Amino acid sequence: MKDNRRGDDFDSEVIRRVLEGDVNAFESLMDKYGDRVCRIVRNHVPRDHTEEVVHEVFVRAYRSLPGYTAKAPFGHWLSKIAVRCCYDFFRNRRRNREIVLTNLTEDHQKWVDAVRTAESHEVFEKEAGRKEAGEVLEYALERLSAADRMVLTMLHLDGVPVKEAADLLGWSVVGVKVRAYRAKRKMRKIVSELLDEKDHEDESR
Amino acid sequence: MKADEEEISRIENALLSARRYRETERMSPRLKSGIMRDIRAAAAPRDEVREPVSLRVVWRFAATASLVAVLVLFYTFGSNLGAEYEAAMFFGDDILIAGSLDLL
Repeated sequence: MKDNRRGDDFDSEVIRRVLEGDVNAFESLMDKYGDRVCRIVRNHVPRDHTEEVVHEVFVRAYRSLPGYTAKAPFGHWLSKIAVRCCYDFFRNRRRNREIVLTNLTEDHQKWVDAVRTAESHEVFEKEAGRKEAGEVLEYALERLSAADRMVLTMLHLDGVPVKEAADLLGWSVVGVKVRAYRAKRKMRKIVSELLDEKDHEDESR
Repeated sequence: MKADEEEISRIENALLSARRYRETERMSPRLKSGIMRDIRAAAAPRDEVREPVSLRVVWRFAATASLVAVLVLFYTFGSNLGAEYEAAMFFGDDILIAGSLDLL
């Protein structure tokens, strides 16, 4: 017998059962899409907040399930909720002023220097793989608004096509393009300031 | 000193590459059970809301009945055949009241 566990029919059947009151059936949707949601959330949200946002995604999906019309596959619908939750996470953090802008440590400054002076591709790649690289990236992203951060992460860091990003965010294609352009400029400014600050520190020593 | 474009691009590319080294996350059983606990808790009020269907029917009936009453009222007052009398007949079904209204 053909295993249709991965197909839309399986999803429809599970959704029908959940809506009829079999709440436990929802667990099989989590089994199927859990890793996918975790990947999306992890791409946007800092590691220590990933579980909290994944939790919110599934609870929100459950609450919105009566409104799911099956026009798009369930996985896509769930991905949209996941992106929306990530966006809301940053918006709320900014609104509640929970973001504490971190400063770069000496290790980060050393990493910046190492990248500046890297002469071979191997050295460059090695530097990119260090944990300081991820922390400097987070330092830069923290300084962007929620919308800028989402667009920049999707388009420039993860290589999501503009049309898909627009669909996931629920924005127009033009809106995403404009926002992406501005976000990239802001990011460039942040990196430039980072280097200027470093030079300034070096000169004052 | 202003950072030059090449250096900025270098750092940007390094940050882009850093992205590839991000650890992937998998859903832990602990997280899954936490979510299911909340979903079960959310399911209870949903069932409670669904239960009193009869209450919804009562409200719908009340709304329809009110609408019909207003329409009948307009119809009786709109016709030329002694509106007060007909209204009294409709609401009171009392010939005495209808008669006294007619005298007025």
